[in-house]
Amino acid sequence: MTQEVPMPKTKPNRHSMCSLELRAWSFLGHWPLFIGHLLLASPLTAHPLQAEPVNHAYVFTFDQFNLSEDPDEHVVEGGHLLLAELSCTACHAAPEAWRERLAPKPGPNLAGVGSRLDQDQLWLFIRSPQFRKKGTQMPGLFSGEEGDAARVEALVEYLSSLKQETPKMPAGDGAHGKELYHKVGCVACHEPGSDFRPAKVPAAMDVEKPGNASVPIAFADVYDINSLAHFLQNPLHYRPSGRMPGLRLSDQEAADIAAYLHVGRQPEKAVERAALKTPPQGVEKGRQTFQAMGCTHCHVSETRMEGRSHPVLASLNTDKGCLSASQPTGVPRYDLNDLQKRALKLAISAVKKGGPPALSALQKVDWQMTRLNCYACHDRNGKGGPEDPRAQYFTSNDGSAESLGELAHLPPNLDAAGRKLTRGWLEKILFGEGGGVRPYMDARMPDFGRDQTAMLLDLLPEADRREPPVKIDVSGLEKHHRAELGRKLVGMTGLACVGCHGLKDRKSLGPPVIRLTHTVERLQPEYFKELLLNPQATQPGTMMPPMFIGRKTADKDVESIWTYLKELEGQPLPDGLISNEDFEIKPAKTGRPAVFRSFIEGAGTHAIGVGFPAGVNAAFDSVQVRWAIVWKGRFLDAMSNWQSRDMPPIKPLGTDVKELPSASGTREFQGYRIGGDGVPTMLYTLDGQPVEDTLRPSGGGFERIVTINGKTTKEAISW
Amino acid sequence: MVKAFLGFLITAGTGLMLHAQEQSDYYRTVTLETPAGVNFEASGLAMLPDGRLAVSLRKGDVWLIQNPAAEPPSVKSLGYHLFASGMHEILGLDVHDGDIYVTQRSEVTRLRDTDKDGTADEYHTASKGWGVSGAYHEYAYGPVFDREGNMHNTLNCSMGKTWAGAGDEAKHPLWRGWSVITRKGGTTATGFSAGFRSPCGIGLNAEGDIFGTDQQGNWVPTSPVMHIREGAFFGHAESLVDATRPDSPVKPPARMLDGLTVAEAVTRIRGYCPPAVWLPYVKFGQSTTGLRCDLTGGKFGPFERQMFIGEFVLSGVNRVFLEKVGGEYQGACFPFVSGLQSAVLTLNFLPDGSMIVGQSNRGWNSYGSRSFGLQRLVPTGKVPLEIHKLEAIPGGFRFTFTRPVKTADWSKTKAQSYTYTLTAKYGSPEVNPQPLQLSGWQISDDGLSLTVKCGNLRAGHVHEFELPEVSAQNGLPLWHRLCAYTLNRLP
Repeated sequence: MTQEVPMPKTKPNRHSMCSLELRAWSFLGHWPLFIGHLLLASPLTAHPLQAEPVNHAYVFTFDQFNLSEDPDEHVVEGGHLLLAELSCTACHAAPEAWRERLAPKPGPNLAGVGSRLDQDQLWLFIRSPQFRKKGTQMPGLFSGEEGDAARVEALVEYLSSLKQETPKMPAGDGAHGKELYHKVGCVACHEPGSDFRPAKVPAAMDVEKPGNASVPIAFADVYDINSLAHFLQNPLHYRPSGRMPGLRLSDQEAADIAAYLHVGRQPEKAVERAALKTPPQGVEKGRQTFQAMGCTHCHVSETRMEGRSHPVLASLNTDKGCLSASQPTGVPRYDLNDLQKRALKLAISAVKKGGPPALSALQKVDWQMTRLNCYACHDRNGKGGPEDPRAQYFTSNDGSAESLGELAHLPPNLDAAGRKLTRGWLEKILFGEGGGVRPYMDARMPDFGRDQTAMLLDLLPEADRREPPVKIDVSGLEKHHRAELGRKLVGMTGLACVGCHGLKDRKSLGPPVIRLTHTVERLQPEYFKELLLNPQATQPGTMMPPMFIGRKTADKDVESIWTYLKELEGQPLPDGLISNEDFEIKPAKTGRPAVFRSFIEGAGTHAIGVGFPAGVNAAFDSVQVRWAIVWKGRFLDAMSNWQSRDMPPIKPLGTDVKELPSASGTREFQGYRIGGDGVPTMLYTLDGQPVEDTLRPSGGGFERIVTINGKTTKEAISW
Repeated sequence: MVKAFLGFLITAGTGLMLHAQEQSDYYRTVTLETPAGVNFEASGLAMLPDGRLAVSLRKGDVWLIQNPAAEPPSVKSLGYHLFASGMHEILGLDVHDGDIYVTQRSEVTRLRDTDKDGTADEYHTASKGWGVSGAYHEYAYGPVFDREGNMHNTLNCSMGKTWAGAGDEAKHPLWRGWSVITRKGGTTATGFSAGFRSPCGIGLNAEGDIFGTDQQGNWVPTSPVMHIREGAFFGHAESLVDATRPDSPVKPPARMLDGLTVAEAVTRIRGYCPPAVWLPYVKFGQSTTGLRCDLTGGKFGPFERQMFIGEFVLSGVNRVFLEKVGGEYQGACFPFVSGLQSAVLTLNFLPDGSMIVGQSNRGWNSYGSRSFGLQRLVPTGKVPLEIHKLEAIPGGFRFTFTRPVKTADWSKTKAQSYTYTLTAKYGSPEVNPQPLQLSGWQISDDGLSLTVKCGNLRAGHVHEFELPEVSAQNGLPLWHRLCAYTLNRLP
């Protein structure tokens, strides 16, 4: 029996999505169908929640690395990935030899779920996960058979009874949340909002949309907003699998992103639930159903419960059950697509054939990185890294890093990470604190949890071992002598490392690349030497210049630098980092007026500063063609022009800064002439008439002398 | 493909430093002492009619050097004099009709000493009109003067944080990533050609045509040398925002596409002009800077009328040979010198035929032991064996040497062709590489020219050669074996 479906009243671009939903519904032919109105405000049409829906259980790295034209030998690996990531092996036990590799991932922790989701939402999701959240990995278990309504209702009552108080999160700022969502790394996996324009995209170009589907976030709007914020901050608490990793957000940041994602439309009402009028089933019946339906294979709710048993993996008939065309109640329905089914069938036959081929450490690292989708952000050995349409959202917060290009934006390549980083530093990066050394980068290294990453501490060094190893003497013999040599080499008169690398609290003189402060804690000495001796070969794409190629003393020099960095405490800083020089321009000292052009606060980017020995100063704006400000006391510091790379605007050093009135008429600047006494006269035209405009110190202020077409006027400027 | 690329990097990297000894055989390096206490970050060099050398510094000074070729090159014998100061990051200097012109961040200034006391007193704004947002990357270079007396400058694309204090220019700095022209008699710069990223060099060839260099980064796959002419677009998409202005001579492409190869872009992006020469990344350094044509009449060696290009990271100089094919310039690049004391930012020739280079590595790193300075390369009189020219001929290439060579095992030549990708990402690897199918090596009777047939010439691709060991008939070995020809068009 089918019923007429009322069309939802939504914005036009929502229609395509709705029609897909409707198809999914009609598959469940005999359920009574009503769809609550989704009230969408107009800006929401560009929101990440409106991503193109995925119509199969979505595993990012499966879709990314498998195509239907790929040969069986490749697709079978994708099948193994699905067996593990869709938690097939949670019900169908893998043979002993395969157990480690195909270990199911832990499902979401449902403790407290009754506080996060209301009964209608639980009902909609349990009854048909694929309808409520397209692309979800949660299988559906109810096909609409006799008794399903009662079972779903029982589960809703049981889960609803699981209450837990969520800590109070601050109120969020959606606009800031939108910024954060697009820059800290969320969009490596999730959908970018189409109304957010990456800064890097030139005005003439369209913003390219991701080619790989996005991991769905359709539930963001269903959680209550406080729970959503807490979830975003502590995803591992709710989902111990780490597939949604923690982005190390502060309370406020989590609340801001929650405010952005929680678009706040009216909660969808499960009108059909009301129409069914299923009598209350009781929490205890729900608990039994939870166990009987096998939910406990993946989920923890209160305490761990035993589930019912299922056939083991090696005994499965791959034309039946989850892999058949449709699933009756009790058989998980994933909406697998043809490629996924092919992959799973290949993988199950491989499992039937015997033990898995032995994996090298390199392959094991790849396997875990594929499972966790480290490849969404990182490239390792030619695999992964964000696709261009997602990479364009990765940005830098430091303008002077821009010339580093991608190195300033994109998470680092991990090719030799296992022989690069020390174990202690890997721990900091993977699940500790303070491992970040690229403060200019907006993206953050997420926390996937210790359980999901601890194995990498042993696997990575083994995978990336170099034969033969680089030899470096870090014994520190004669260390005082060698540390001093190292200090000289790091300094501007040596190899000028400080041209790009900062140290401790000092910025580099150039681009803000990684500070050298933690080098010896962070890097393995052998790698440090390998990198310095041949940067491009060791770290392809690095901008580190090959400073040691052809250098006869390379070995000793590298060791000296290492020794210096090891003995950093108590050593003087390298030359160039500390500026002992005084760049203040002091007209009183020279006895002559000084003219100095720069970016001057109050006078713009085309400013001309003039300082007088009498301690009065002015700045001329050569675009507005007027004296813009005057001030008393000290003049200007030339550091910006003379020493820095990023050329920040400079401030008048003195006091009593006064803005002068704006100018009228059509003015065109022509330059200035410096008199025999050093006083500059500004030259310009005013409505076509030639003008000479001079300030001279007078009575603690200025006298302004203006000659227009030969006619001179004087005025006093005092303040 | 990536592996092959790396292999080249390593060999090129190690090859670079092996020539120091040979370098001093042919060109002596003279390091000029500079005045104590002044960061002599030389950014522009030009001769005054009276034989003095005018030098601009990044800190905003112009100095005059009385005897630039003096030796020993002490401060005293060179004779330094501060001519002008207080300007905003000068990155170029030229002398035109006896006057010194310098390019500051926001204008070109003509400097005159009207009261003849030896120091400039008239700072005349000779050109302005481009936007300055306060972002650090908005460098301005030049000027050069064309045959008609118009002035040309190149302007970096904007990058980094803008400053609210720049007013409207913080929102849209005009003509960034363009070359601009200031017509003779005018003082306003307007757009001339577009699509630059960091065009640190602008200069003229022997015929008086204008050329510019640029540096690898977004939309610039590796350092190019381009023929600047009105309405040309060289590929950096960010400059297109000003191409829609009514006074723009560049017609904007209907759509800019990310990820096309250079060979594809020529046909698919309307108005895209490929550079005359690409300098392959790392093999020829990492950032091209100033350029200068050798008009010394042979005093600097056998490279008359060719162009020399400064190199930042390697603290060196490369050489470029150009020819016209189908009416457009294209040609080849050759390594020249490297391993000087600091990044080469600008270069020129002195009347004695020596080359002088101005150096500063502020803001980046380079080979060498100093952050700034002046050095001269003085020919010793011994002529190196070099590939003088590499020309495209129908069905192949012709190498011309500076001296007659003995025959060699030419089949050991390593040769490949590749192109680059135009993308908003940083730079590009060499893409679609293909080994060259070379045959029919033939050396001329006089031993000066060598022709080879190539079975797989590809327009729009760089054709790179590493010759085997070759020696001159007098036994002198070939100084540089690497060269790369940018074959935009087949002859």
